[in-house]
Amino acid sequence: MADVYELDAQTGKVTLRDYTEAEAEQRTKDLAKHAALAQAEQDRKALKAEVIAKLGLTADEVAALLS
Amino acid sequence: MALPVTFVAGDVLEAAQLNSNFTYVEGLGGLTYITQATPSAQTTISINNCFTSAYENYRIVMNVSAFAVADGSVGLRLRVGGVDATTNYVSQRLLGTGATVAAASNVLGTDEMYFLSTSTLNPRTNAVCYDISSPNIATTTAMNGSFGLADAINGVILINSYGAHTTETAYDGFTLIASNNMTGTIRVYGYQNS
Repeated sequence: MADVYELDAQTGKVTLRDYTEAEAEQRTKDLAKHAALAQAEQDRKALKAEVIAKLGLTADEVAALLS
Repeated sequence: MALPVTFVAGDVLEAAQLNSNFTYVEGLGGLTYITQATPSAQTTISINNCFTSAYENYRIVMNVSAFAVADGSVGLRLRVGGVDATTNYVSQRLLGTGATVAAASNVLGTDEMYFLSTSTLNPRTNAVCYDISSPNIATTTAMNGSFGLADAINGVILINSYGAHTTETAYDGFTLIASNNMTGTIRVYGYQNS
């Protein structure tokens, strides 16, 4: 599977190609960033659930509180 | 010549009249289709030469067929001459689901603008539409639009997102950078300047 789908809007030509060296470096950074963001999101959800549990509120009560 | 030029049966249509009518229709405004990309299971989708001096503002609409993973994300980078710009982005996202609203800035950092989040369920419920202001002019480029989806895991989600690229450069295209494979159709339209 090629890394990049590249369309030229002027000619309509589609090129499927591998990353250039610079693009591959950027992709490595992007993947690391996305993994960190996904982890942070999981941590945030876990913390939220923990806090809700600590407060002893139901989901409806939390929704009412935040509305 | 009064426009539009109209005809009745038997009239001769001259080239100048036809061209004048084309000009007249262009002057009415609205959106003009530029191009569409149809990537299949790709993470990096670049559309080159879609931003030109013909239009100041553009609309990008995406119809999603499939995402490889749930909870992934897709960002947008501007590009020129086949090279992405990877600095000087800012963005703000407002997310609403049920009665809960959450706001966040630079959710994908400052090396791209947030475009959408992925879900593997009910991909056809995704609605993705963004306007891009002045990408082909050597000034700040801004993007504003919304994204929504409805599925059994996430519920109904509406996201409004704004992004800007503060480097004052004229760009001729953009790249969508997905954390994982995506399949769909991305159409680009230009707003008539009239």
